[in-house]
Amino acid sequence: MTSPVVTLKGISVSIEGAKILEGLSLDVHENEFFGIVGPNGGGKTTLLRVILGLQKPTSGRVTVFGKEPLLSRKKVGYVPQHASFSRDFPISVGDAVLMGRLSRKKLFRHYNQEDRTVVEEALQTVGMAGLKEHHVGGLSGGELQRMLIARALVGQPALLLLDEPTASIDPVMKTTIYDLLDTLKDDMTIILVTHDTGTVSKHVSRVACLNCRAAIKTREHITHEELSDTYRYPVTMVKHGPPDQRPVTGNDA
Amino acid sequence: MQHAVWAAFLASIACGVIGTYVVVRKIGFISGGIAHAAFGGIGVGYYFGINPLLGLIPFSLLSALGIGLLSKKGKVAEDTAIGAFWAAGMAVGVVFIGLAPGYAPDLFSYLFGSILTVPSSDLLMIAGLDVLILLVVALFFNEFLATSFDEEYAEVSGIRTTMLYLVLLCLIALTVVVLVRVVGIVMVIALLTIPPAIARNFSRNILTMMVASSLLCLLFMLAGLWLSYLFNVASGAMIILLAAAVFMITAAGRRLLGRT
Repeated sequence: MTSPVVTLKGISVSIEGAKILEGLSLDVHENEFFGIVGPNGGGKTTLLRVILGLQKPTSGRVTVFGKEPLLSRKKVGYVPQHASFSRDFPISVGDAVLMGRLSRKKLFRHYNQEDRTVVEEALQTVGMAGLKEHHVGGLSGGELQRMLIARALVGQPALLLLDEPTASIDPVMKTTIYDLLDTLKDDMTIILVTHDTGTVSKHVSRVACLNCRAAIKTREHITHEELSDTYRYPVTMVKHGPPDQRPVTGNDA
Repeated sequence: MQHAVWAAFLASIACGVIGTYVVVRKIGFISGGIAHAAFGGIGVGYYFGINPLLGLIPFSLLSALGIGLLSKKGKVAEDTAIGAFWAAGMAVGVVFIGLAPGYAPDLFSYLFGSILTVPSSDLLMIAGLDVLILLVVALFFNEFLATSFDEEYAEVSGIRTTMLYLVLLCLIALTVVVLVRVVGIVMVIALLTIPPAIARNFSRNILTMMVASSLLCLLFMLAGLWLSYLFNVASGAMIILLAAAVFMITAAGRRLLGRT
């Protein structure tokens, strides 16, 4: 087993008296594709924010690449669930993606030709090469999410955190994104938050079923009882494909 | 008159550049708070018999840092911090002007502007502040852009967002000093928001928005100055009325053209 990239020990988070995470412990290893599933309000985004150092845990300890999260940020790429910026901000897609290179720069950061080449490659990867000069305000929901993925990729992170990156993306592009993540996991560790229990089980190596507490399972050992318990809602599993390659599929709880 | 044109030219530089950040970051109310709190500095200047603009600089900087730190680090709601500094600064100004011996003859020019009476010494100070503001913006241009566009992502990228926010508030404080002689403390907020808000309608990036805002600012100041001469009214108020009229016309025009 490779060394842990992310280590969580007894992490609890309470926000304004509400318990969001309780006693969570897990390790995510190098080049692992780790999934997090669970219902809304189950603590998935909070867990990512703890790993990013944006949310301080009430108790417990978190390390990323063996250090405090704040000290490891330059190695981390992040795709948020929603774009937190104003759509009328005067900026092109290319310039917005270019900001993903900032983590690789020192004080008084200025971009060079290499940065711009990496941006063009990333936009090509997510199928947006032709939209580089477009204004971000004119993008559809799916294009916006692909732009956020491109922004995270240009930083060439060693750890990539994605918070429901395919929520507004059509099925064809969703497959492309998951295939891309499959390729990327050779070069980086990936932690993916999703509701897409069917697809995620096909791609990830392990899954945390998170609803305040977490049950960590390898993808072969996800059961419908586990998912039903996590979502507190009946989840049906359908196994299909050749017997040795049957992924787990669940309904969108 | 020559001084007035120079004052308009120099003030429009800071106004367009910093006003752009004020508009895209939606911190117009904070800028208003800093401007009004800075009135305390004018009162202190009168009391100690120094150039009120010199009293304005430290007072506006302290107000900017106070509002920024209280809202970012203290557990105080941003609008509460702004309200407290806004009123307290004005109160300090009123108290010190009351305590100052004699009459404050040009007090109105600080409250409502008096571009026609800007002395050479103030022009030099405004030019110096312009250079400082442009230098800091050039050095941190990409960082300011990143934090203005997506603060959370900028933080994740390792940018010290709180420090940059405080630096930006200090630049706003210095821009207030630059604009006080032109339109006065009471109306500074209009020049920091209206030209950039109009410029955003046709700007593809933040740099063109800054240039367009500065040009609009200059246009409003010179045209407002001419109109004030024509109608024999206060120049600061005329500048703001003209800017507000153009803003409303462009807003209505966008609506008619179906652009939101």
